[in-house]
Amino acid sequence: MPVFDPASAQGNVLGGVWLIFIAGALFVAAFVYGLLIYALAKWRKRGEGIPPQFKTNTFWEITGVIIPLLMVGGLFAVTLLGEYRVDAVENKPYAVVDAGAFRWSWQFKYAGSGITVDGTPDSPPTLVLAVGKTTQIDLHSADVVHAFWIPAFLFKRDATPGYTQHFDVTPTRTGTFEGKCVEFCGLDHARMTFSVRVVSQAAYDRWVSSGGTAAL
Amino acid sequence: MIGWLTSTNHKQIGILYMMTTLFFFLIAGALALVIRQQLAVPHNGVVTAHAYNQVFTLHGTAMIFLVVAPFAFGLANYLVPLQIGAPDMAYPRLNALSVWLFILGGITIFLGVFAQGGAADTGWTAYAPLSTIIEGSGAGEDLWLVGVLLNSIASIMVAINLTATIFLFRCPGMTMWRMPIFTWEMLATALLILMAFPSLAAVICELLLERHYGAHFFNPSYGGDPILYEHLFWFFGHPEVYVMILPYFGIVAEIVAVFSRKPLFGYTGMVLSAFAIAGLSMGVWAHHMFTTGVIANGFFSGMSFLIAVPTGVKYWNWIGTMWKGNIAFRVPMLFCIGFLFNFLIGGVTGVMIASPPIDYHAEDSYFIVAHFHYTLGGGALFAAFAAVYFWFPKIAGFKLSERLGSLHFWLMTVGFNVAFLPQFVLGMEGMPRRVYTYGATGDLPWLNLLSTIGAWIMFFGVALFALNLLVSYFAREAAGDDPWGGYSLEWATTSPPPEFNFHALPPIRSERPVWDARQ
Amino acid sequence: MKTFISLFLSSGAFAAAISIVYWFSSKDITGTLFLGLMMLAFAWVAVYTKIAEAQSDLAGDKPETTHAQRAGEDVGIVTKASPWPLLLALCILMLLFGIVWSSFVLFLGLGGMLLCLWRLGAESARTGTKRILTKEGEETVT
Repeated sequence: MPVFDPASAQGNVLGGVWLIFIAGALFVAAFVYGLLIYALAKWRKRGEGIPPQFKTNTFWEITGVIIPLLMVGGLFAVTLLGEYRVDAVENKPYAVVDAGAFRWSWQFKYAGSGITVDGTPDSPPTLVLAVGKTTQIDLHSADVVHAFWIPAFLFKRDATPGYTQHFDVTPTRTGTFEGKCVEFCGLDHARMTFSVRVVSQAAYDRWVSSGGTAAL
Repeated sequence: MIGWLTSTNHKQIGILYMMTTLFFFLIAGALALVIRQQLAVPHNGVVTAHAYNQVFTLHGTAMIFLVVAPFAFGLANYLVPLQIGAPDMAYPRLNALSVWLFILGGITIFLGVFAQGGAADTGWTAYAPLSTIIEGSGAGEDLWLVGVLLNSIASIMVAINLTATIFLFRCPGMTMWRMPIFTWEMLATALLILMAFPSLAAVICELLLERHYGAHFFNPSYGGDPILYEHLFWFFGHPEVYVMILPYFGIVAEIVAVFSRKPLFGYTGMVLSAFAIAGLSMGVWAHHMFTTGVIANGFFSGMSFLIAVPTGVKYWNWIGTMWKGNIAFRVPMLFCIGFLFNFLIGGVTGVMIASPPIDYHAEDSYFIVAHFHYTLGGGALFAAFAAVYFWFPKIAGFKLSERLGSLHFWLMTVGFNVAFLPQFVLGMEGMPRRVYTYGATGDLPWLNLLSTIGAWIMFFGVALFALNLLVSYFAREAAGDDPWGGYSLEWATTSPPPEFNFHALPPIRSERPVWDARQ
Repeated sequence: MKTFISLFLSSGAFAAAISIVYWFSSKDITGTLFLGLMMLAFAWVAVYTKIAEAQSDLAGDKPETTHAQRAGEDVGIVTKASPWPLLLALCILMLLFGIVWSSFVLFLGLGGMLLCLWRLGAESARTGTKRILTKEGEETVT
């Protein structure tokens, strides 16, 4: 489960936000379920008596506004802090990859090396990243709205025609991860995938200097 | 037959609305089974990719435009004049026009199935430029656009009619602060529709112009902007979400109060929270666009979080209504309790995805699918069934079977949660929505199979509901005017009510005139 | 009436407030325009209702009234049936099909719409059921 085990520096921040929100959700659910079950069990029908006909209780009604307000205020602060750290883009990334989305695959161009990788739905392309190093992705689309998602990094960004998006990914461990198009883009949307190979910095440098032919 | 075609009576129109939504509900439910059957195992071949894209588009379109929202319109058509002691809606012929536009719109959307190239296959959101590409999407997409346009016009008409009726047609003594909570929630809904649906009508017209008259609103190569489409669509699309839940909040509030034998706790708070939700929901549209990277995420995130507060107030007041009550577990109440348990999961996950960092992972994954099915399926749909069991005796004059009803409830509850709880995990593990197939990685295969099993359990639940309608129709157990000990004016007249609703009205001195008259 | 006006006024004020906040947090013209239009729409209804209020005498706004006190009051004409809404709906459908596929169908739909609207206008003047409040409820007079 990537949420509990993210594979990038940005993903670690996002995973932290996820954990806080999951804990909050479970707490609220447990509290409300507890109240509901208590009320339903304790005041289930026993005879035809008419219960007390109270309609309001100012203290409890105001409490019912203030408690959720405080909770969402806290969650909003967590949100802003998390988002600020993830949206930040480094000035000097280790590598820059131009990612172009088209129906229905991806094209990855590695800046300064002349490497271009084109994919098709039947042979999805591979995105190569160096572990521990920040790669800036420049994302754009050639036709319709797509989205670039690497579940293991807990991160996605839309590829909207007419816009180019910049964001950083900093993988924290080597391995092969899945990447997907996640905005519905027509017939072969489901097969518009790619894979992410995170390798050591030395292997990455060797691969780039060989023009993308060296074994990873 | 001619009577039904030309009638302008709000009760007949309400029944027409509700029967039509039942028809489309069965179709959309069958489409859902196709989806789940296709996804039951990895690399399945029940349908092709092209067919699958049509199936989920029609399932979403039908459930949203032809089932969940219009069922509330139909019920409101039937109930609002009764609840405020009026003989009919303010504009009966406009009312008839809206129901026929709605029915014709629904048929038009589904006519696409017979078109060359098949029905619309761009999802219910029909994002441009995908939906403006003529090649490969034939007449089906155009039929979809025309149908949805008719639907949006019909909805605006309903909203105008409800607002005028509630404003002008209240009977003597029925001040606004004595209106039943369902009527209040429908007023909030109507205002939302009036603000939001014109945006949908506009954006559909723009798509039609772009497809057939050479306009370029959304085409970046001619200076257009796909983000503009998303803005215009979600101006409508997010308030629509609350159009589909506010009426059901009202239904639950009414039913919980009646079966707890207590007045609604925090009536004023309930009304104010409905308008707070409606108002805030106009300012959160772009939380569907957090991952575009060109939106003021902070503003939309903050506004979305705030909606949790009035929704929390509603939960607080529902529980307050049951507190110290005398709770009878009849079938309508069972469905309301189901609503409270399911919708809470939709609610807490809704707070999660109000946060952009969460959406960076969850957006457009099965996590979102699970979230909105918990609000619309486990929430609105359960409340709709509660409404059917609660008001059916009033509308038909006879009761539905309690035994079949509670069996229906348990099958739906078990089936629903088995179908949709696994989808949260599916989304967190990386399964995108709107895919016709997936690889056998991680926990995806068994979770998907579980979800499919849940869908089939729900199928048997709905089948039991159909059986219940049939059995009760032949048994015809007379309901009487007031089978549940109701509170609002619809229980003061006969079942079914006469043509102009009332022969006599009790004096109205509180929001529970029928209860007052009984004491 | 008072409740209704304050409802629209406060909705309009809310729309004004968030459109200002939105403009300064996003500088996005589309959304600001949308929220601004929403404010105008609410304000429009509020102002209109305020003006119309001078002549109104709504039974539903008087907390102490009952039906008995309002007996003899004319509720107005309530339509029971009309074939024109269905026909108008069909003509609107033709109009939209015409926009997509054929200008002939478009003009056919447009003509049909005009006919239906004309008949609807003529109909409202003379048909329907006249209804008057009585002590118990309401009564049909025709």
